[in-house]
Amino acid sequence: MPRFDPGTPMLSRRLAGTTYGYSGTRLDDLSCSEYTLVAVAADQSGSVGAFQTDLEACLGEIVRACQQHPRAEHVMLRLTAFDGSLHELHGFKPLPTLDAKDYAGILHTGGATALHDAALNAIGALRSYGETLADQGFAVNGLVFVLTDGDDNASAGSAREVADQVRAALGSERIEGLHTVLVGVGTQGATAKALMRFSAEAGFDDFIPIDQANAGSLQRLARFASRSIGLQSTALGAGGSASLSLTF
Amino acid sequence: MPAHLNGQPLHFPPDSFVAAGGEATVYGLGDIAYKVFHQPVDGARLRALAALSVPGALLPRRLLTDDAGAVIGHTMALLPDATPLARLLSRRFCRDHGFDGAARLRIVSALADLVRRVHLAGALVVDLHEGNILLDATFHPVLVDTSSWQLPGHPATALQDAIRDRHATGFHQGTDWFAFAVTAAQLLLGVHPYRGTHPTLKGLDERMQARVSVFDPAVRLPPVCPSPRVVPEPWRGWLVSVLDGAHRGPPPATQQLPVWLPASRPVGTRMGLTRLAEAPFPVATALEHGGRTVLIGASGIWCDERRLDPARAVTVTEDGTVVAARIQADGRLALATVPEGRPLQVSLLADDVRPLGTGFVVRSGPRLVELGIRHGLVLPRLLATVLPHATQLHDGLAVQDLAGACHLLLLSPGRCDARRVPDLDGWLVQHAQAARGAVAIVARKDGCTDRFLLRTAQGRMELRRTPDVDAADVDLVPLPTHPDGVALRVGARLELFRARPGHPDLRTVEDPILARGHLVALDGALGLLVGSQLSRLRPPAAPPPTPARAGGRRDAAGRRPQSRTARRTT
Repeated sequence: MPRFDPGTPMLSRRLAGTTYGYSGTRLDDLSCSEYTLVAVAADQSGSVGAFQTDLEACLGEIVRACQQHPRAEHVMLRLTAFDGSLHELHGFKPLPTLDAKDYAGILHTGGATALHDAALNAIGALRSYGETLADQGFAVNGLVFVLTDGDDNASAGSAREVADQVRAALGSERIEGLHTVLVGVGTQGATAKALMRFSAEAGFDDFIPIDQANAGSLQRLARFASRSIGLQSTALGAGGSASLSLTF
Repeated sequence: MPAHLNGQPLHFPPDSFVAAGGEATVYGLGDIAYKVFHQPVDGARLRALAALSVPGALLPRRLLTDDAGAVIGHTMALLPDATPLARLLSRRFCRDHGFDGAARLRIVSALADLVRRVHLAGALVVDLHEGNILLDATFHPVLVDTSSWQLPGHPATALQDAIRDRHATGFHQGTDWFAFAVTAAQLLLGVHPYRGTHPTLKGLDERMQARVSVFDPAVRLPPVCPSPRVVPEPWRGWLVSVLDGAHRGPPPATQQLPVWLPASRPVGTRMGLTRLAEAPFPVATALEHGGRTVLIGASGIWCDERRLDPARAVTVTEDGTVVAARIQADGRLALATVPEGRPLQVSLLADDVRPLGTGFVVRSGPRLVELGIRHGLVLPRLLATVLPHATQLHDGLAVQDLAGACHLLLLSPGRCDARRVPDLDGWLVQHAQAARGAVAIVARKDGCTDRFLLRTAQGRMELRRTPDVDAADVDLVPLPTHPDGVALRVGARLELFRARPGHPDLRTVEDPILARGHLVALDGALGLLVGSQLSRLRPPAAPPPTPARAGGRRDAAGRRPQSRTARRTT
């Protein structure tokens, strides 16, 4: 997968049972003892082209808004884009090391929608990296956002495998809470219903349908995501194992 | 919900938005913050809090009401240029903004004083965690979210699980000190004291129940955290007694020196270098006087393009003569001009010799003797009597360890000022330098190496201590461009500050080239010795932005004012 910043040495891992992997900041390069890991998987299939710029602005705004949070140092963000395959745009990186401006033009739309594989990788990578951190004494919780405008049509994985991955992440108790959010961007009718079904089967905590994909709704999504990230990080610092949820 | 103050409706323009939380929204107008709750709240509690006076706490001042007259909020002071304490839990943030171990210890000490003041006012903080503490523009802690405090007749309304005392029923001063201990340990070590991994006890709750904190050797910490041993006494003992025991009293008042908390200001990232001279051997120090440059190394002296025999110390006299001091095989001191080699008449046994002003200081058995040199004559003067086997001579000072009690003898021409430094008791001094009353010391104790930076003047003394440093990679020299300034190089970092206590300003330059050399004071400039070369240091490039010091308000939750887009996100 391409990297956001190929010059930065990162820890790289392959996820067992899949053809994909992930990268994360090396443990020696971390500055805090507890982290909220945030995995964002963004659809870049052909149909996203209509609102690609707004979606990129949304991603940049999530980063920018989260950097204002007092606990910004305790958050690491990973971003993947998916079409018919997965692309890691950057691995798990501390928020202060990211620049919101870098998200403009980051998506390259076209192709199919490997939604299941994207969700599987996002959760699997968070679980793997989170457990690596936890084994070294870090306190970790997580938040996953999967943003898509359509149902799966290109994955090798299934919704059941996604659900298994979530259960495994929480079952080990090394990650102190994981909240998963599926966002249907510009989805209505049958697509929205299909995504709702996938959300339920895959065990997402929240499904957020946004019927119109435009600058306003995606700004609202950025606010929701950044606030959720702030609350999840606060929950980790507060010693609460339960994830906090917001109403979109 | 429209808010009213004294019956007058308040209008909050969009750019007055500061922050929003689960229960309230905060706006800022001028120097006043307005906290508007989403639901009516207990007005009697807010009135009782408003009646308190606790310097260092953002208490409610005037009450806000809704259309029906129900209390829905309060005003309070708006804290400008604040830093959330939570940011200091990041090693990167502390490194980038100059919050070293001594600075964090100072904050912990000030926070303890603040909690004492709250208790004296008859209140309890209860929800005392890092998220409810800001640092003001002078880096003193300020308590926020005070509306949840407990007062007689008004129980506390909030408590984070991470600071809840598992062994207490109800809230009292002891539970405040437990919460304070958790927060203090977090600030000093960068980790919640019941985090890390333990072989058998899993999770925060089990560890808190069992009273097994990070001070227990069985607990494994993330690699980012320093050893808990870096916490100095008496703090470490008190933290252990609270976190691993049942003690719930306040921390002991420290008997140690006042701590110097610097206000760090980066002034650049790249020093300019102008090459001045090069010797055919590695150079340890250099002198410059009247256009003449002398390079001094372990294998020789380089002066006027001539290589001369090595010397223990070299100085430039008042009349510009360069003089080298050597200790001969019979223990006698020999002085000779450089490069001519003309001997100067002196008869003195010497254990050690160092340059001092335009002369030398010699440890000669139980005496510290200053040697002034004028018109080719050597003028000895007794500076102090010392215990010879308990005294080390360094550049600008002698360190005397009297049965474990540390005394510094600060040396300047014609003067020897003795200072007792209890903070250094029991430490083995590995490296020390003094300049203009400032002292840099690297010392070792119990397997830990710490750096101590003292500033002294007129009976006052203050200390900045950095625990767990790597090595004695430190240079302290007078700043030639300022009569009261000194320059400290620590690795790749250059710090410029005043030698006298009480001046918080600290200018910093980070440049990797600094880590490769040694700093020296030249005529009118600083110099850098790298290998065999001496270069003059030029002022650095333009300073980078300093987020923590940037102007602008922060809200009670510690957030900076944001652009409109960001404000809407909170």
